[in-house]
Amino acid sequence: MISRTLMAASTRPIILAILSKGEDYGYSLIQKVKEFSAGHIDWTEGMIYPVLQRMEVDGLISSKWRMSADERPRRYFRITERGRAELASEMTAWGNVWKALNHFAKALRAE
Amino acid sequence: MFDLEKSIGAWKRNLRKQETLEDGIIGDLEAHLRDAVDALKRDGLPEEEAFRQAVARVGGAENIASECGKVREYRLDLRSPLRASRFMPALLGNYFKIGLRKFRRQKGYSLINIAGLTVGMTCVVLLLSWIQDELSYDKFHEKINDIYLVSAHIKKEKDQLQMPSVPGLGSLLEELFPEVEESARFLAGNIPLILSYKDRTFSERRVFPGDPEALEMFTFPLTAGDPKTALKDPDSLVLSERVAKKYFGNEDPIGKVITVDNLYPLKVTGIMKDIPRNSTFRFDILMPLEFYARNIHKEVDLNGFTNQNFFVFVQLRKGSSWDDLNRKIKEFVVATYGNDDYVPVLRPFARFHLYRLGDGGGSFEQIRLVGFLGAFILLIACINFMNLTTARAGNRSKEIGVRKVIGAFRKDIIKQFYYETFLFVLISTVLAVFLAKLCLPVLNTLFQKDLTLDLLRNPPLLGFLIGISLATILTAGSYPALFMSSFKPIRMIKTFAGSSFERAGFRKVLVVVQFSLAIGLIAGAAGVYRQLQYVQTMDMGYNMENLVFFSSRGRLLAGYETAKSEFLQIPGVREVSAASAYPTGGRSNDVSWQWEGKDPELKPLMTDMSVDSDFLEAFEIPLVEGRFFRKEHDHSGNAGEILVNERMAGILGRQDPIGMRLSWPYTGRSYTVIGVIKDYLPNPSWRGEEPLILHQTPESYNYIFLKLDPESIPQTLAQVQSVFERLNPGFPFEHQFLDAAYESQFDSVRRTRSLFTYLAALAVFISCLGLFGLASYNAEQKTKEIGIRKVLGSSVSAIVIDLSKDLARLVLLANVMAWPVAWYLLQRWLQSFLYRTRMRLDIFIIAGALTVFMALLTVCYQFMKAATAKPVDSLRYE
Repeated sequence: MISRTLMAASTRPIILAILSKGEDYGYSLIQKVKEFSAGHIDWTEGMIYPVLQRMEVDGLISSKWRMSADERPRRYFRITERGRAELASEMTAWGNVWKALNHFAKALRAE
Repeated sequence: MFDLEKSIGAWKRNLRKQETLEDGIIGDLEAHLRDAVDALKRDGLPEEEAFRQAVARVGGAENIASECGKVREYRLDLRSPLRASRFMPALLGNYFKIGLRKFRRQKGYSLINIAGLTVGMTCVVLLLSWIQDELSYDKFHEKINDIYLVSAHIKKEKDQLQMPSVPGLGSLLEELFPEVEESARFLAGNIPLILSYKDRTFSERRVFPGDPEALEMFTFPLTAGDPKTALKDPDSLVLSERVAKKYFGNEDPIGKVITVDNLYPLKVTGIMKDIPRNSTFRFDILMPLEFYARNIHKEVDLNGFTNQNFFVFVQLRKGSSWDDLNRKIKEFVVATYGNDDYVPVLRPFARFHLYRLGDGGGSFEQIRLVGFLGAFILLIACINFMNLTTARAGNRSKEIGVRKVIGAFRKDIIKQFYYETFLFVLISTVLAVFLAKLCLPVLNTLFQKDLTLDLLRNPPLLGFLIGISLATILTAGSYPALFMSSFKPIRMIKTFAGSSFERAGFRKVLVVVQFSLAIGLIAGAAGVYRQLQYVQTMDMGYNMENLVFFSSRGRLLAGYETAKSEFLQIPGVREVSAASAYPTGGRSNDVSWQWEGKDPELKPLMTDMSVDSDFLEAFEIPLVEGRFFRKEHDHSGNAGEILVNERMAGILGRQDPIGMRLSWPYTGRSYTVIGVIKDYLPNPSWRGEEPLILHQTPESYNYIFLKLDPESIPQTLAQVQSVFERLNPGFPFEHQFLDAAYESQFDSVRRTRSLFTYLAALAVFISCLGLFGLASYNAEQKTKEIGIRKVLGSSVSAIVIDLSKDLARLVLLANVMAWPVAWYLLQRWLQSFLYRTRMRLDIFIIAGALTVFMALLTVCYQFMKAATAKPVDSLRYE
């Protein structure tokens, strides 16, 4: 179970990471998160949209409505340059956190 | 049967209830839901179950909506506020159009505003040009900043006394101090002289005896002749162009000989340009002082140090400071005489007119007064504008509301109202200039001025006028602009009702201020009138009624005894007397009389006068003690005898001064006091009864006085004239009545009075104009109320009284505020007179009653109109 705070903190880097591979829309983003986290990350799906809105306001992503192949209108999100820079710095931060945790985890396991 | 589309429709409707969920995000959610349903269906769930699970996964509408709300707020915070461009020319046109429409729709109010402002501005234009004229006095003299009037400060008992210049000072200062480049004198003698050339003989009043240097020091340009030499010859004369034309027509006047007083031939050596009106010294004939002192006025001592009505000027070298020189002179006097009892003092000629250096109290005071009054009038007009504009604010509220909703900031509304005020002031100013031009002739007669109003050729006046217009815009426009722009748009659009904009408190204050000013002006006018009345009718200690006098020049002086008996034979002539001066006129301020036991510190200024033995009878001055000059000794001049007045007797310090001997060191003669006469007051503007010595010196009987029978003055005068012309051929019979001559001294007070009267009338007019506007607004506001009252049985008079009560209360309050201030200011003004009327309350009661009456008259018309309207009309008006 992942805590609310950790979930909130990780949402933006995860979305940015997925979008850095190419543009995508909301439902598909959720599916990918579920898939890659093996179901551990389970968002209330509707809540992703305010987050995306906010990220757009901040200029990290941009969006465009488009008809997708199955004739359903969807809003596609795309990462911006600013988003990429944000992603890079988030990755470094998470990496540092992970390194520290890993270190302590080894120590714990050694006991 | 489950219908997916219907269920999604219902779900969407539910989402739409959330205010913060915008269409875009609802679209996102819908697409998401459909994807989820499809996916679940693919997993084998029935449609209904798939929908239920998909909805659960998407989550509750409230939570999403609240998150979206946060994003929206965040976005709003980020948005940079809208800034309208500072200046939108397109709006000016709109403001103009709206202003014009409002003008047309509210003709009455607009006209009241324009009329008030126009009258106010007219006053200002006129007063400005008057002030400008006053300030321009003497400025045409090129060396004005180097010229100084020399006068003497004399210590008299304890006070400092300032005297006009004495003739000997100029050359003395020139000798003693290198800073003094030149000195020149004028004699302010106002004695008419008879000038003749061939058959043309005229009596000339504007004759100035002066030093030859005056032509170089002052700028009285000569069109013919050389200013350096024109008056060097004591038997020469300089004429103005106007007078030269009178005598010589088209002949060349230079070198021609003019005869003065039928006796003395003087050669015309110069023609000067006519002296402009804004000159302190205005004369047509300049003659050498030397000639005048030798032949016309033989008592004048050109090198003396007593007052003989001289103006002594010195011109300082460039770069020397008059302050420094004044200090040096004082040091010199103290070093030489060991005291500073008598110190010559220089004062700039540039200030001569404004401060009337000669006798204190010049037009500076008047300018200040006029400036204040003009500002008052304009302020009253501005108050009208503010009151009417804000009272009508209700009519504008919707417009302002809409403007604000469309995006106008408060700033823009303020700009709009200033702009409207600007239009009003502009129209008023233009009208005012025209009106002022129309009024100018009246003002010129009233103040004996020669004002012209040519704004284009008078940049300072134009500049001032523009400045004052701007100040008016700020004063009149600020309150409406700030008040109207402060309204909240929602209130203005939703609830339009006049009453919600009542906020009449400030308007009431303005009405009170306005009426206080008007009351103050009326009280001022009444006070000045009172004082004038008082000094004109006060008991001076002598009777000047029916006294006619004329100069004794020519053969009258020598043949005075004969003339006297001839005049006395005319039936209408009651008394004949002669004197060296007329009682209302000047004094001689002599300090040199000596007597036994005189305190050497005591230096009273004494006036002496030569009179004949009928003086007391002619002037009805009572004798207190002793006797008067003996008639039978008149021809020999009762030599060695003098009389003193009570004041002088007090100074002599003896219980019974009769028999005391006084001496006058200049002649070395001594005199015995034979009587004491009652004090009389030469002139109320003086410091009081002054010590007076009467002697009898027939050579100096300059004036002859006739006491006439009031019944038959015209016939008597005709006979007097024929006797005069027979005895004194070649001299025109120029007589004056003493009371008229006396009255003419009050011209300046009289002018102040008419100024006050006119301005007070204007102030009341403008105030009532504003009140009229306010009253009609009030009546209009209360149309319904009046209708209902009438239906319920109220009488017209009850309604009018009820409506007027409020305004009457304001005017009464204005009275309460104005009285103490006006009282104080009037009291201060009266302090400047030694003899002044007592201030009584009735002045204020009159002013108050007048304003209350005028105010009620103004509002009653409006209220009567409202109260007599048929209730059915007033109730149906909506």
